Amino acid sequence: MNFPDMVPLAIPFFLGALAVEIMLWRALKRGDYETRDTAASLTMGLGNAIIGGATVAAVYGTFSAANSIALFDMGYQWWVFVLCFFAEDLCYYVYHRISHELRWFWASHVVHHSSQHFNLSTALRQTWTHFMSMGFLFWLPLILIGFPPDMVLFFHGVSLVYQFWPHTELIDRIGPLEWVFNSPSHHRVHHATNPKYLDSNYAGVLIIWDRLFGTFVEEDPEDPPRYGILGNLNSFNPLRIAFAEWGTIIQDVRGAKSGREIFMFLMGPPGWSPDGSRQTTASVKEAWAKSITEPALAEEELAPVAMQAAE
Amino acid sequence: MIIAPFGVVAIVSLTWFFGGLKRPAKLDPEGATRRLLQDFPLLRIADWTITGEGDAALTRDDQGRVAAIARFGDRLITRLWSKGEISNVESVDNTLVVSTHDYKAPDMHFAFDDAEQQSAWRKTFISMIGRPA
Repeated sequence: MNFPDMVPLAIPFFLGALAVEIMLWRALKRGDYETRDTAASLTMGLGNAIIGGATVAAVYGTFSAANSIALFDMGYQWWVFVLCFFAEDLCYYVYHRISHELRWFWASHVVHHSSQHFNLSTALRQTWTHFMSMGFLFWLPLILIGFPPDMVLFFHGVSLVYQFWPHTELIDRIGPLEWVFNSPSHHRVHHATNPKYLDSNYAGVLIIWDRLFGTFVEEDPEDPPRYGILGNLNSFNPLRIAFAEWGTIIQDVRGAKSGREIFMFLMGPPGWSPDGSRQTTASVKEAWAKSITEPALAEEELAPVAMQAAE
Repeated sequence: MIIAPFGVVAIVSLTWFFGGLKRPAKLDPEGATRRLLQDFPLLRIADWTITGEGDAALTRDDQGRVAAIARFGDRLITRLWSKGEISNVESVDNTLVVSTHDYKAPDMHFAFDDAEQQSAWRKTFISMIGRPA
């Protein structure tokens, strides 16, 4: 069966929507753009498209080989399409969650979170090392069950195109659809570094998986999202954006003192360190919870600092 | 695909045209404290050294770590360095160039008005040079 390749087809739409959002940003004073940040994000997107195009044959080849030993031949019945849509979206949820929880996959995915802005250009800030990190293997179970590889890749493309539009601050909520679908509000939470928002809302198209597996967090108007990562980048250089985390991994592994340390530097949570001195999402959440009960700086401690500012 | 590179140039130009090249407000101690505590909620800090006329700021916590905050693009970045996380410190005129083992922020620049402050911070950073934990 001939399925269209959704992402290249959507590029004119992506660019048009970006232009509209930029004009609305100026007209309505909602959302935010920074020129160098946008240039970096779009360069990452361009690189991702080129590398993706160069490696798609290898992915398809792997899927086709796996398909030859599949349990079933699911074919192209209408119900297979429906099932494949849900199964692909569940695979995306698992892949996305693990991309935040294991450093090997985070090293690739961190690129997408490395902007401190949240707009449609952020959606296109994509990794160059997706193939190298073997992220595509998360969809292999679908092929081994018997879903046709071209159908799986088609729905994956549909999911990626869908995920473009929730990257905006222009749209607040989408009413009752928020119960079922990933939305701008849900995805703002996902990109936020506010402690209570960390490690949440991994949805691709459907938010139901987060609700089902306990990773759903609602956006709180009292706690506006601050976007980025723990320890934000101070570079707009695409090479640094693409490889900073990989560089740190190599450095850590070279300095490791045991096999366990090597394993944890590769497959532990992002930020793991032998002495626990680095920030992980868990340590940030713990510190935040403590700070609510025992604030780090009492008012009287802040006073001298404030006085210095006035001098 | 062929329109993508032209599209990128057009979109970047559009953000520039609408004023996308921005800087955040200059740092002051109160703002720096507020921002730092968002990232490191349990930090206990004493006072700040504002450098580069508000481009960056430095402070120490009660455990001898150094916290830094710096303007980047139209946002801020924060760092909390323990002993061993600094790889090199260089004085270039009135500026300290601090190199770290952190690939996400390899070099940070701190310009001082006061030579004594610069010297004191240089000593502090030298004492933190080493390998990361």
